[in-house]
Amino acid sequence: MEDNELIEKHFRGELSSDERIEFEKKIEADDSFKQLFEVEAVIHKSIQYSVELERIKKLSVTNVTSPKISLEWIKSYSLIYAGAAAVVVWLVSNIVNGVFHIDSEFIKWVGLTVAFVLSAVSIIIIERKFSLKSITTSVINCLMIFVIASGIDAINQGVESKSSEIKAVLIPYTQGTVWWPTRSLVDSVSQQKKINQELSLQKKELNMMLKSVRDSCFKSMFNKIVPIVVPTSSTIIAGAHYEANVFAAASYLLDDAEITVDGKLIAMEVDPNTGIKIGHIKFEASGSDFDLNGISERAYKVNLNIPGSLPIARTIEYKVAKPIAKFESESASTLYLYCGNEMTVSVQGLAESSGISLSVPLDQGKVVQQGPGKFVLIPGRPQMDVEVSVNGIPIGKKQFKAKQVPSPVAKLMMGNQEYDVKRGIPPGTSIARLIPDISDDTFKRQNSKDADYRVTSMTLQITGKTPITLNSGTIELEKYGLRPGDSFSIFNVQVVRSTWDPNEADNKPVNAKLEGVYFMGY
Amino acid sequence: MKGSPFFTDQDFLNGIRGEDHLIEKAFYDQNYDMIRGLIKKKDSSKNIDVDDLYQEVMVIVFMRIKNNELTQLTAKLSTYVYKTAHNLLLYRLRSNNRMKTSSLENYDFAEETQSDVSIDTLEIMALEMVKKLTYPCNEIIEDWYIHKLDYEQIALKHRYKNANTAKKKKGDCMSNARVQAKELLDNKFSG
Repeated sequence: MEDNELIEKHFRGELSSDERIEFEKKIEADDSFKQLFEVEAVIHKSIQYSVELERIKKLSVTNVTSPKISLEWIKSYSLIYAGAAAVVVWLVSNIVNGVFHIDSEFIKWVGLTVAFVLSAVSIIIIERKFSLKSITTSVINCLMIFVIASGIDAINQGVESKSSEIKAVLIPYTQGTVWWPTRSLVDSVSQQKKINQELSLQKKELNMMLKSVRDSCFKSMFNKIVPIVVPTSSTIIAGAHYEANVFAAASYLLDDAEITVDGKLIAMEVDPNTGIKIGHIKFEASGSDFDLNGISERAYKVNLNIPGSLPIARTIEYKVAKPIAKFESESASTLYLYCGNEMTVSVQGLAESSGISLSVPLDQGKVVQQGPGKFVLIPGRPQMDVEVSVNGIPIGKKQFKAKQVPSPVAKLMMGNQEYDVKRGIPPGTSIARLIPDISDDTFKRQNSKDADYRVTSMTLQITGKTPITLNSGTIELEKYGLRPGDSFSIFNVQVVRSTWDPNEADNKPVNAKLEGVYFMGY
Repeated sequence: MKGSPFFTDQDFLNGIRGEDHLIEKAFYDQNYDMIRGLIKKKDSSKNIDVDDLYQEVMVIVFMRIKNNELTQLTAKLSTYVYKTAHNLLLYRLRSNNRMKTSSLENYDFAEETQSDVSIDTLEIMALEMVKKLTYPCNEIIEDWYIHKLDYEQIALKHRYKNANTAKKKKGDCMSNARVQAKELLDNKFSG
């Protein structure tokens, strides 16, 4: 092994026992080896110094010129020490108080003693001696610790405030003999706890007494307790939700009680279902100033006057919906002139239809009422303005159009067989009838009493013969000697109809222009 | 200078051995004014850098404490620092004036020297050598001797290609350092 390698291993502490022996021998005997070692020792030492110098240079970075007191030390250790010592004083004082139940007058001395001992021990540890300076420092530190501990206790227990005083003191140092832990901070808490406990017990007793009194009064004064259900609406559409508020109502003996609605006294009677004496409110709901939704906000005042008690007043609000009349008919909007157009009229929200009445101007026709909500409109003009009233109060007007009854078409019938244009009248037919047929099935169905059309006169012209006037639609074919191949025509047909109005004869002329040419078949 | 109001000398010894930065800082700051006053008093030519010399004193004292050479204090630690600074200052002043002694093994600064706190040749040479070591050789030698890294670790740390490269680099650094150290020793002996 080379000398330098051996020396390096020496400084790296990697020599084996044999190598160490060899190394020591060479140091003793070989001067050149010793010189190499000294050189290497300088290098090794310089490297150690280099590392140390770098560390030391960092020490000089800050606060070189004011080295006497370390600010960092002040910030950390001293403050931590003061706070920790104060906590210790506070804890020891409270523990001693809790264990030995020392009078509050003396607890402060326990705290002061602990604070002084802590302070003095700390000074002795630092200074390693106990001089006048140490004692003075201990006393000052003791007071500082004690004051901090007092603050901790004040934070923990709060400060007593008497109603007669407008000031609060953290440490009542000048108020007589008591100061931390003061009567106001310790005793006041325990005393207040006792007072609170007593008040709590008294409250419980009073509550029990009050409940007892209330129960007895309740039973004697209220002889009926029933559930009252107030639905949002008593009439609902199938599929909609039924909503109601339910509450218990206690019935008071209201023999002498009075209930007024808007100042008017209402009658009281016993409800057979509940046995409770109740007042019944009934008035005609009227509304004006309906909003866009057709709702008018209304209210009435209810006063319950019980002798010996203050009157109970409530304002009950309700909504009045604007009534809207609905006409139900197969052809509600179009009527037939001088016909009996039957209508069923209802008003939304009005359960009873008996109060509904209709009226029309005299020159436009007339209205006949057939029952509650059932009317017959007989228009005399193409336009008919029908006014709807509920209990005499007009709620709206409905305008109808009226048109002429449908014109009939001529239909020649041989018994039940209708005339065939290709075959003509079958041979051997003795009688044929001209019928004014109505093609409007709606009219026939809805105005059946007005739809009985009949022929009152017509002209029969047999080809090559003189015209004959007939007073009905019946044609006696044999009477006129008609044979196969003969033809005849019918014109100037006069048609009348039946009428709904029993006061009128069933001969109302119908505007009809019926005519036709027919031949006798082979 | 009077003792620290917060640390005893034993606290300083323990703190420096344990490299407690807070205590080291307190020790450094505590003695600074005293040594600065000494240097200003002795160095009339103002050639001595106060901070440099003070830090060299601290290096010597710290290393002696760490090497357990100051287990039995016969005087206050601050006195020891003062005497060490005094001797090192005399050496520097004499070096500046080419006043070198002929003996390195028993370095003695004659009558002015504080004989009870001598500075040996190795310490003086090491301080001089610190100034001659430059990057990266100073770090490579530090890794080799102080951190005791092997060649692979040195290669990895200094981003050399491989251990052989690191070995070669370390060999070059050591060769140069030995030449410089030998020159220092030769100058001392010849001086």
